[in-house]
Amino acid sequence: MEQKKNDGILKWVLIIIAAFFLFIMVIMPLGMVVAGSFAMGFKYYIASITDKYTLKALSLTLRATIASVICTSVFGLMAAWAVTRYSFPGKKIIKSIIDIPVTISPVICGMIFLLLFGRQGFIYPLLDKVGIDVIFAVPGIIIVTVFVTLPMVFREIVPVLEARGTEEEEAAAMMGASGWTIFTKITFPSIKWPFIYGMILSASRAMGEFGAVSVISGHLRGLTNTLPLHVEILFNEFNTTEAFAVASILVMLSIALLILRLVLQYVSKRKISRMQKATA
Amino acid sequence: MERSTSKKIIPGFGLTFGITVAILGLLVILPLSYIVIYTLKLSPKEFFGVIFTRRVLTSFWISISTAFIAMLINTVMGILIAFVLVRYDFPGKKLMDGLIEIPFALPTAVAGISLTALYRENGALGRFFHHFGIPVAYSRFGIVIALTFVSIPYVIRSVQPVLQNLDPSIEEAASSMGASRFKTFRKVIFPEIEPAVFSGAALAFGRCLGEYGSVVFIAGNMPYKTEIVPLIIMSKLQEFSYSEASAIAFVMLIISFLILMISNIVASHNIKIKGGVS
Amino acid sequence: MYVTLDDVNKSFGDYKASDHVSFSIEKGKLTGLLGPSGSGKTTILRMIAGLESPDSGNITIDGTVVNDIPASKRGIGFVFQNYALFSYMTVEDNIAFGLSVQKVAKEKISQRVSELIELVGLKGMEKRYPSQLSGGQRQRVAFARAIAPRPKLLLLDEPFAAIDAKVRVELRTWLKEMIEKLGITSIFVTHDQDEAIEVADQIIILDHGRVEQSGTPVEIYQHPDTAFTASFVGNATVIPDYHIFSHFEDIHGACTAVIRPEFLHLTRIGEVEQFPNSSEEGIVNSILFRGSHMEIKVWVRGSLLTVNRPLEAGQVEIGEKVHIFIYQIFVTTGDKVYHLKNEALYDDSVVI
Repeated sequence: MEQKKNDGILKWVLIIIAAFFLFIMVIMPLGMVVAGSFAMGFKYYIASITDKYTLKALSLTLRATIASVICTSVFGLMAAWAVTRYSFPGKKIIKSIIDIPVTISPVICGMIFLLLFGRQGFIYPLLDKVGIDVIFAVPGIIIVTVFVTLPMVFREIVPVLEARGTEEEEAAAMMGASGWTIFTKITFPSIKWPFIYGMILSASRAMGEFGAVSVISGHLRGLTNTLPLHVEILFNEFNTTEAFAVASILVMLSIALLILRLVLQYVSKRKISRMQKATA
Repeated sequence: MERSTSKKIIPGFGLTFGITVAILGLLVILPLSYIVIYTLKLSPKEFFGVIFTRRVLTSFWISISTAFIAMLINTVMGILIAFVLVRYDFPGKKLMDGLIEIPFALPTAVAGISLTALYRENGALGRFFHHFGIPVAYSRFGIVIALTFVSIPYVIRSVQPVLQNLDPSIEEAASSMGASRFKTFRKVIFPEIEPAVFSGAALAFGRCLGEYGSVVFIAGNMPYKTEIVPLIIMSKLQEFSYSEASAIAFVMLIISFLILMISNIVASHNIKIKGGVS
Repeated sequence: MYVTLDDVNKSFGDYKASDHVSFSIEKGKLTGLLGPSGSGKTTILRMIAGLESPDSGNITIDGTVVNDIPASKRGIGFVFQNYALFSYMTVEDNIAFGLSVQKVAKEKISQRVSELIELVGLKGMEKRYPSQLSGGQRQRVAFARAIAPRPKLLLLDEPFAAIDAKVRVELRTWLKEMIEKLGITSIFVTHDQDEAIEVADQIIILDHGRVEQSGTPVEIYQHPDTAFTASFVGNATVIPDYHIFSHFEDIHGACTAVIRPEFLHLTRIGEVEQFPNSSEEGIVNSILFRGSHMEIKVWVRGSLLTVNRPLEAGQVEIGEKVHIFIYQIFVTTGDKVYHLKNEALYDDSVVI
């Protein structure tokens, strides 16, 4: 009985510490965005988020996000298939190279493309001849965003594929099924959910990417500004309310994606457990 | 018995392997090699001349020390929160679990401006600290706050599944033998979650070292005081001192690589200890 | 000969999975590859299937060397150890898969599928997913899926390993009957000698990548050719030096021997004995009730031997002094096996 009582007190002490920490560290910053956005009233908020430059930044952010999601999906499926379905020398090295974009500093991510495509890089004369700007231009922004999100889908689906093993695919291949049939009929159904989580994660990262994009954008307002960069400019110009208003768009988008992911996780878990229940 | 299949019975190896290697080559290996190329443009003397300036060394010290403190905070809080989420039932538990994901989901720039606004002298939390004469924004304390925010989920998410799979009867057995709660935790639970804690902490530390977006606003970026390594790289790039920037980035990459290696060694060491248990 | 392996070698790094393996299999027979784990039996099966390539040597199926023919073109049905059922397809779709990739007409597929579902006794389960089936049912689906495209050869990798012991015996009989009914040449891999002896028409015993012996279950059991086979098959006890027992011929240089429970006869003191003068004395060490009989372990001259005793024979007690008569032993030297009978048996026949 004594033990039970102590348990109750300890339980609530720990819960309160956890809740307090998360309140200060997570909820207050979120609340700050809301408070900051509406500091000058609802009308001003609407005006800020429908500002010409804001909308342009939103459009660039969405384009970069879509490009990232497509690239990480295609790459993730291909690479995960190659790495988990076959054995070949150098597999470990390839796996660690794939992880590079998410392990190095975003500033360094941006920097390597600045060096590669910048005036001093060997590709620059070629691009200059064709008349394509990469650095301080939209293509550069899209490339670095693609880079930082490249491993997202891969990282989500590889553990699932590894856990499943290759027997089902081998069985199908022995019966003469083509690679495409094996992929669509046998492999993909098993990685559908992690694949979708990977896409959501990469969308959320791409939308919010700041450091890498910041290096390569040149901060040209209305041209190479993504939403996070636009937030930075506004904030540094002491347009705090506008900065928070624009930030609130990002918050809404990212929280929407987060909720979507959590809901899908919940749904897929329930589906799986329902399938297993039917056995019993 | 597990053996590696030497034969590629499943079709599609050429296509998928080819595309994977091509994309990696163009998008990762080629650009990354540029850091090495640019660094090599410097003679060893010039290289050390860039690194061993007071400003650069100070920035490394600031980056490493603030990242380390943030990591410590999140290790302690991470274990606590993971424990609370796994072991206890209480209203709002699902919400708490969801909140953990916010630092990953929220764009770093948004976190940056919002933490800055909160911890300024006149901000909601800054006022409190200001009352005691402690500046938060535009100080190293501010950097620690920002880094703590972005690395909250790592330890929690790596400890949670391990704790979930831990057999509660071990704990019950320990406490039935009269071990105190604290002793049970230290002797019975902690050894089980230690590898997960360590790998989560290593990830958090790595993330903090490279973090830029959330820090740039709150740090104030004063050389010798609050300038972290990513910031110094950024300012070198803005001055078009590309070789200097790559030299600093090169050192940074080596440090991240070392962290990765150490955590791998520790992980394999832990596996050896627990060999055959799982 | 329908399937022939001719001097097949295969290594994985330092591990020699196949060491000059040669054997052949008759059409329509059910063959078991029997060996302990690491004996290379699964590798051989995978090479026949085309899932691995031999380093050297030829594999012939139905008169064609298949070394360079891809797995999917060999006309083989393969039942994987864990069945590898397509987890996101129904029972029906699993069975139909092989035919549908061959672009067989839809009506023909559904006709064949319902015929097979009938055959393997899974009627009513067509729409279930593998995760909703029991182990035995999964094996039936795997079997039906493998034979659906009418393969020339059926390969089964440890077909009973993933099944509860209780259902296993029932499934063995079922599988044997199925294969006999279909008349399909089949090879299965197992580490369980009871399984091999009960199911197979022909057994090939493997150890360390080498073929130790090949023959019918009766031949393998009664006439082991090699030291390994003698000690691997049956409930064998290995005796370091058989000279401790008198009444056996002395083979020059041989020491170790293998004794099985059925080579021994236990009599209590006072019971009528056929060969009282040639029995050994023993002390009962343990008694285990095995349902149909008692399994008794007895210390005889420093060796712990296992002997079976029918239930209706009188009870023995632990620590009791008993007489043990040894009918025969397998004496092994190097790789040779000598089948020795107790000399008392000859003496007796002379007297009569």
